[in-house]
Amino acid sequence: MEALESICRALPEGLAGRVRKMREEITELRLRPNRPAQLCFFEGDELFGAPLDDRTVNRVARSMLEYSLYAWEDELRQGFFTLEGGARVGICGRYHVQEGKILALTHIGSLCVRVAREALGAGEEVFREIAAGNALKSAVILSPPGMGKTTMLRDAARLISRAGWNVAVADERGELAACREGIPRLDVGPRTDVMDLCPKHLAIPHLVRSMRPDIVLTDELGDRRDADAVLDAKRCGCRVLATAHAQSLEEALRREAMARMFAQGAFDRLFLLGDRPGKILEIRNLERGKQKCG
Amino acid sequence: MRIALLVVAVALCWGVGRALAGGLERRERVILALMDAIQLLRIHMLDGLSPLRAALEQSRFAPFQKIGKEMGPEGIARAWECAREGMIGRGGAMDSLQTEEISVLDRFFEGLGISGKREQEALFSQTLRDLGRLGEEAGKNSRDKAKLYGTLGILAGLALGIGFL
Repeated sequence: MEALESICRALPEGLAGRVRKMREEITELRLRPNRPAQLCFFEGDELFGAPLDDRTVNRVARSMLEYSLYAWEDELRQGFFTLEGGARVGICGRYHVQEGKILALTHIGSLCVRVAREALGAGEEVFREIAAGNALKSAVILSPPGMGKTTMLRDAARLISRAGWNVAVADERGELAACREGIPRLDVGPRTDVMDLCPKHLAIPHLVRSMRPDIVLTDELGDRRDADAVLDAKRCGCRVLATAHAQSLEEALRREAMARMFAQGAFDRLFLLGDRPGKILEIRNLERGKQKCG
Repeated sequence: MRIALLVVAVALCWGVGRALAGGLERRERVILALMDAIQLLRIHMLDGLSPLRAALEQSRFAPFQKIGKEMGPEGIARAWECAREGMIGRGGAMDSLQTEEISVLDRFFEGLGISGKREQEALFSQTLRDLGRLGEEAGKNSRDKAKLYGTLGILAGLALGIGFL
């Protein structure tokens, strides 16, 4: 598992051993200065070993950043970067802020490493629903953080692509395809093109214009610009499969950009995840406003 | 026969003088190669945003490529520290460098990769400025001393030849 190995390479020996031992269960690893490492599992967590000093946490971060802070400046400003294999590392610490804008991360504080998993079959239900018949449908997957929406989206890309459609992935955080030098390291299908580490609102129109996809996939829709890009893609005749953070449709509708996308018919289906990672609580048919399952 | 001996002595001593001057020229050449490699590294790192190890490999400068390969969890400064003795010692790729150049490289590797683009840009500029100055000094020194050593060689050869005669 490439994602896990890329994490372990940067860790102190004892901790790396523990992480490797728990490879099947681990979902997150959290490192904080002067605190023991926290290993999070599908159920529960564990505080491992002696507290890590700040130099160790710093060394781990630098090693994960390949001693190349300059190369990750934009990502660090946003608070995360992605490792080889797709593991996403959230980072916080002391930031240099000027005129309301984050200029740079000046001191690394704590790290939250999310282990990327390729769960083949996780997107089966989404695929069946949006690819029923010969026409693709647009859909949005809503879920709180940590419920497996990225994993589901990645697998859906693989399945749609295998079924014969051209898929374009706007992978802003590099988590979906885990590209290295532009080449996907995770299986996103044989007919899939990926634009990685580019903001969604720029990547989506670019992909629609240049790659002529049947469907565009993207993770974590958020602001007004994302909404504009999704609606434009839809107007160009392209389908969209996206995810967003929300516990329910009602909660999603409280965000202006999401409300606009729903109001203008950006999506034909809605999948709501919850309870445990990968569990679909509800599929809603937005074309007719019909609820399919609970 | 004596004249031939005189000519041989002059030629030999001039050759020794040239060889000594060659050592000084080599210092300038290594500094210039180092500056080219740093310039290329700057492009790969700050324009191409290549991670440090990949950028070092692309620098087309064997000592940098070696440091990149040997870079472990302790980072680039430690890799340089470990490789330095082998590189600046007799027979090493940078054995003609002097203490000033080594100090510039120590400072360079100490700061390489550990800060944002703006700081890295400043580090590269400072290093290239320092090496440029030292390269100029080395060039001037080698040109002056090449003449001096050549002349001294000829004079020593003449003296030796006259001694034979």
